[in-house]
Amino acid sequence: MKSEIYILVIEDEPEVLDSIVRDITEFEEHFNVEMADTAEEAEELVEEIIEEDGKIGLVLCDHVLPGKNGVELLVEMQKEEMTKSTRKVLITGQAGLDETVKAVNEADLKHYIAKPWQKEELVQITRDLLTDYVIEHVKDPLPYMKVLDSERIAESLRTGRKMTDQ
Amino acid sequence: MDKTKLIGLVLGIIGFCIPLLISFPGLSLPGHLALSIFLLAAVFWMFETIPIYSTSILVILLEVLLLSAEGLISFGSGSGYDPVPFSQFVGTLANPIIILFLGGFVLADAAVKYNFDKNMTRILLKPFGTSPAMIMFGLMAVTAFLSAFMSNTATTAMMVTVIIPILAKMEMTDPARISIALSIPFAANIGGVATPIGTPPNAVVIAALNQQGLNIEFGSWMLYALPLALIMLAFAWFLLLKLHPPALKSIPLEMKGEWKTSKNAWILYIVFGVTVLLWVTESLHGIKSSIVALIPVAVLTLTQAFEKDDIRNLPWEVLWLIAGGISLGIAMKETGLADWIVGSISWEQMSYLVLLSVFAIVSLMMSNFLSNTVTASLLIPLGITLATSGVVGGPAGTLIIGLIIALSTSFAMVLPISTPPNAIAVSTGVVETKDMIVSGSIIGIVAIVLVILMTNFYWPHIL
Amino acid sequence: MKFKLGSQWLEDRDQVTGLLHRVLDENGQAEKYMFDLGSGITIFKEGEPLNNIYILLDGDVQLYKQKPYNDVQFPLQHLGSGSLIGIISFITGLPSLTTAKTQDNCRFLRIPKKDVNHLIDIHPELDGYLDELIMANLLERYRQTIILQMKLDSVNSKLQSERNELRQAYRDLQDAQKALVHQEKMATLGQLVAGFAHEVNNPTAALLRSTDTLEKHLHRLMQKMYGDGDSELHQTGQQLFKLGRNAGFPDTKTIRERTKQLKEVFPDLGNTQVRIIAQMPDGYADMVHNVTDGKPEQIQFLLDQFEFGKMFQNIETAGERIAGLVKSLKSYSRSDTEDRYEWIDIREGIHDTLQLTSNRIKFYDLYLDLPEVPEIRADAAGLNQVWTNIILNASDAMGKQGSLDIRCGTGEEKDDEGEVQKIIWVSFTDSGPGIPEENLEKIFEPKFSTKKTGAKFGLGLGLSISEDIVEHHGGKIKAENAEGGGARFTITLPVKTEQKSL
Repeated sequence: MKSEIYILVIEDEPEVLDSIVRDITEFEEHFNVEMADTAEEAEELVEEIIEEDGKIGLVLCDHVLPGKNGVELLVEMQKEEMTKSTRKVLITGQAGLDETVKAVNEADLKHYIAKPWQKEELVQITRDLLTDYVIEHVKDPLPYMKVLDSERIAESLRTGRKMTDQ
Repeated sequence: MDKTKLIGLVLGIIGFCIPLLISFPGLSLPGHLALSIFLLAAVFWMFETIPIYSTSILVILLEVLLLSAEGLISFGSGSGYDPVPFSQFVGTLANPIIILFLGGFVLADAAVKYNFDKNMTRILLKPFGTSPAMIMFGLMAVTAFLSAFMSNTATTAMMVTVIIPILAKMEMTDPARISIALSIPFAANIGGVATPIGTPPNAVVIAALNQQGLNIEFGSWMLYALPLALIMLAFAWFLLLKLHPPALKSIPLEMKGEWKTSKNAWILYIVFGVTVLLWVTESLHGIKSSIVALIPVAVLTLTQAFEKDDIRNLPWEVLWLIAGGISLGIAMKETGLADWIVGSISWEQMSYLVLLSVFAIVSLMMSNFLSNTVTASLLIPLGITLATSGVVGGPAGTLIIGLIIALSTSFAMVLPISTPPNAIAVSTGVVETKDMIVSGSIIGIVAIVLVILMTNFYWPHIL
Repeated sequence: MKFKLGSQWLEDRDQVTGLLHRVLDENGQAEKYMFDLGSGITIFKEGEPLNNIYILLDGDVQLYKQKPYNDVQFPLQHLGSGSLIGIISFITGLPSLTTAKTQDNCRFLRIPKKDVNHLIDIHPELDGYLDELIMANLLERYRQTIILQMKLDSVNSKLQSERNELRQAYRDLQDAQKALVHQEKMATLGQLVAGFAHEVNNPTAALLRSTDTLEKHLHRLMQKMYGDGDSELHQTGQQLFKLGRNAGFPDTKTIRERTKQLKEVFPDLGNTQVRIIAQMPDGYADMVHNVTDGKPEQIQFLLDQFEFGKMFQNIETAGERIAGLVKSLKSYSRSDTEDRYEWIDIREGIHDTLQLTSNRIKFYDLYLDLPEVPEIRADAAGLNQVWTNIILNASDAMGKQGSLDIRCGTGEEKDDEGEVQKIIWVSFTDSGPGIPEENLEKIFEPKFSTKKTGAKFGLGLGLSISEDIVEHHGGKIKAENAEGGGARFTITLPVKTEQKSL
């Protein structure tokens, strides 16, 4: 199934980028996974996606990037109307407390993943956050039920009255 | 716009134009116009060119414009058609059956709001122990019971939240995962037939019967349909256990929850109990179920247990969908279109039994691909006309054909697209479509057989 | 002139006292005032009212003054024969300002105050003598005071210079301590690194070796499963495995563009599969398409092969990176050598340093022009410190973006004795804002820093240490601003010079 919801992965080291994307392939049939190796490229990509009426559901962003760093990118995305509700995750090998605090306060950082990460952890976080996003933004969340948290989506169908008998 | 929708759009417009361009012998001008509307609606409903409730609204609009006394076309007295006031088409939205459904919706949404549905489930499931077969039976019984009063879809969504933790604890290869995951939508579909408010096709059929002067009491409907529902429930349970026998010996069933004890929650519990009791006992006190339906609407809103936002969140589009179906039936009958269609087919060559079987099978097949309500809306004018034209015979025949259409429609559960509950079940990823096709087909066929049997051996004896 | 005897008294007071004595003696009153005292006897004490005036005829007397707040007697003035003692008290009538003690056997004339006027009345000629004697005494005391003042001044300036020396010594000591702490730090780091390297190298070796073996086993398994590799599909699979094993990663933009194109070529494939094909170099997509006829299962087989290869490449790259980092760390801290001074190629140290500081400089444009230079005998770990300091300073100055130009070469230079000697030089030029002129001189001072916080990296100790290290090698370090505006540090090190030990 093709979907207009994107997962954006930003990481400058190709091997690491490859590993992150490989770990989340189970979501790829339901979400478009796009990669960028700089924050600047990610910004262009975001613009492009939004122009084509796509939505960005989740950003997995490396901290140390050439040029603008991950926290700066996330903070800027938080300021943009179209990416405000995008779920934001910082993946980092260097835990600089100041930067983390900034990301939590100003970018509504949802999660903080320390390198090296565990696949289960990454997948779980991705699933949780995408479920949040889908419940909040998608009129018909049914197609996502299989790949996301089915229980929470079913609950949203029950309480959100998104589906009715026909 | 994707391909299907585009095809639907083109076909719909062509369908709409045909009766305007070609003159069918024996069909009046209003009949031609009604046929245009019918073809447009049928195509749009089938292809879902626009959302099905929009098609219903469009139907009402076109009827008002083309067929009402206040419409664009003035029919001469010679046409033999006495134009219907537009209020009759629009008024379908306040049809007693719609009010009954509104009451049901308010009750169901309030139940969800105060977690009544989930807590009921928790309590009702307790006596069923831990053996997989029994748990499954419990799940099905509870699902069917709730979906008789709530929407099948909402019941399924709720029950899915109940079964997912259970399924998560089971081995991935345990066939019981499939049987449990299928049991919920099947039970919800089956439960829907048990009461008039169980599912929208019931409403369309009951409204059409009402037009024929046949008043169906809440309790009488249950008397007609409940036995069939119970048999089908048991059969579905048996079938699923046979097809996917559980490997596990016992399933730990843990549901956490607490009854809400706020004032509003208590009001809901009481209103729910009283309303259902009054519905079921209509024959004892004679208060019409539609009037009873105003009790939850009024009491829950005046006590603020059901608030403005809750009212806004009601599935109003379903009411429009039903209303469109009812008004299409009115137009087809009033313009003589239904008579013309019935008349152009030589029913005499078929026996009574074959005739009923055809309706049952067509209902089942159509509603596997189309919305149940749409199927009922398209078929009920024909069925009723057939009955009133004497081919089936008498008031009993009208009722029987109505029941056949309503019930057969609801037993369509072969594909994920057949009903929203099926779609939810497949979406969980636990069940594959092929599993659903196998068991859904068997249930459909058995249901048709049972319906036909009932037309001979049960309904004629209790009417 | 009233003072008939003039300056003569100042040189020979005995004459005056003798004269005085004679006058009194002539009148037979000398006996009456004559007074002898042994050595070390107190004549009068400070603060006592003084009723006599003493004329010292013979012997030495020392005047003392009590220091405030303690009992120590501070020696004030030494008086010889001919001196008047108690003269100030005599003139002012106040209690004595000093304590007077004899220093050997002394002979005085002790004249009670009340007798003085009387004596003058009797001997009017005495008046003149006495006045002159008083005057002479006061003059003498004044002279003494001046000398004292002069002495005090010279002592003060000596003290000042000693204090400066002390301060410098303290500074040197601080530097030395810093250097020692630093040395200690490096030694600890060296030990840590040695242990760390061992601990990391083992698992890394296991990782790389297992991967190697795994790869062989995988090939064998494939052979078994798919026959002897004669099918076209299997051959293509092997080819794609090799491709994944060796091909680099295209950048994300390229992948995206290719993905868009490939979606048209492979409309039936899922996003994941198309994305993987997009990572193959041009031409391979067609190959995949042709070999498989677009059959999804076969495509998946080929993509798996490519992914296998890529994963092996990733593991290998990662493992080699770990091994390389450990090696750099080891050679950086010289944890594997005992002798600090050894023959080294300075360029190796620069490379190690670049690798270890890579997280700070990885986004810079790096220009390296490091031709071969002669080996020198040097403290490699120390020099690495110098490189680290300069690179990290450049990084602090430039922020995230910039360029770093590192060169080296050989040359000649006159040493302190004016003899021409061979040198090697290394220069680091950054593209930062440069060093303000007024700071160019101060930059090697121990406490000079333009940073708000200490060195983040924890390895650098500042340019003063760098200067020390370079100087211990007999070299020089120079800071200047490059033509382009950035800062340039140039280090020159002599070739073939016997090293002082640090």
